[in-house]
Amino acid sequence: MLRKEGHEVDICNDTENALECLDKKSPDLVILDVMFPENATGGFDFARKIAQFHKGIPILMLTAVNSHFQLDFSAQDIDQDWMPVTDFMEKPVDFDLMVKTVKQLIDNNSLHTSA
Amino acid sequence: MAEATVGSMLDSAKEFETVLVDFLRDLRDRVKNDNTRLLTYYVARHKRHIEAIARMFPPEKLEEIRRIPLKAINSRFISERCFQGTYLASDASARELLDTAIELIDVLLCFYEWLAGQPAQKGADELIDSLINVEEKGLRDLKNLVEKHAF
Repeated sequence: MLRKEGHEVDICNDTENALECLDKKSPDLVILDVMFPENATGGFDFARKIAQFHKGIPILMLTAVNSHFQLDFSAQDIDQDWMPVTDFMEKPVDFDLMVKTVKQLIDNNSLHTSA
Repeated sequence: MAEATVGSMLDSAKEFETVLVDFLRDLRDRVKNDNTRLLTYYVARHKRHIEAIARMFPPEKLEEIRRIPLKAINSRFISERCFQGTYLASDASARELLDTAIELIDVLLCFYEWLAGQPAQKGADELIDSLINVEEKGLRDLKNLVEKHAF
């Protein structure tokens, strides 16, 4: 879907791989899941790492964690200390909305960076 | 001794929230159980409560409320004392964290109820009632997680 829109997409299935990828490239955006196969809070933990070592990259967090645990995580929980992400989307994801959100986050970030 | 005001008591509550978040951050970074770690993120949202309620009031109104004097100081509500003996090991279960969070938030709720019962707090009712409501809801949500064996 994102490739169809002209975006270059790299997929990483674990944090080690993703960190290496972030070190090599400087992506315009990271799309992250909250729950990783090896760690239920992997996405939150990884978002904090990105914010620490790759400041300025917008992060879109996709989550199904609420359907597993009814914890109502949402954009309201975004904060620099615990959840330094840029936006939240609940799964199942509406792909049209995701494409729109991705474009918006990248545009906002490039405006912010060039300002 | 400094005069007790609604503001000074709210500052004590804010300090309590800060200590709670420090406690959760420490646990988050060393706990082995994934579900317990996930819950630290969930419980940490408590740190926003006071600020969120405060934002419901225009700044000048909030200042006015903060200056309202109280007849007594609640000397038992000192964060250090509230958290004394509160420690969870790195192998703590989600249930242990839920029980601890329920105990701690109950302490905060009791403090707000004490604050609401102060005869000199006229004018601060709305603010304190809002704080009580948000903590009561938080407590209900935590107890629901326990009852439903969500973890």
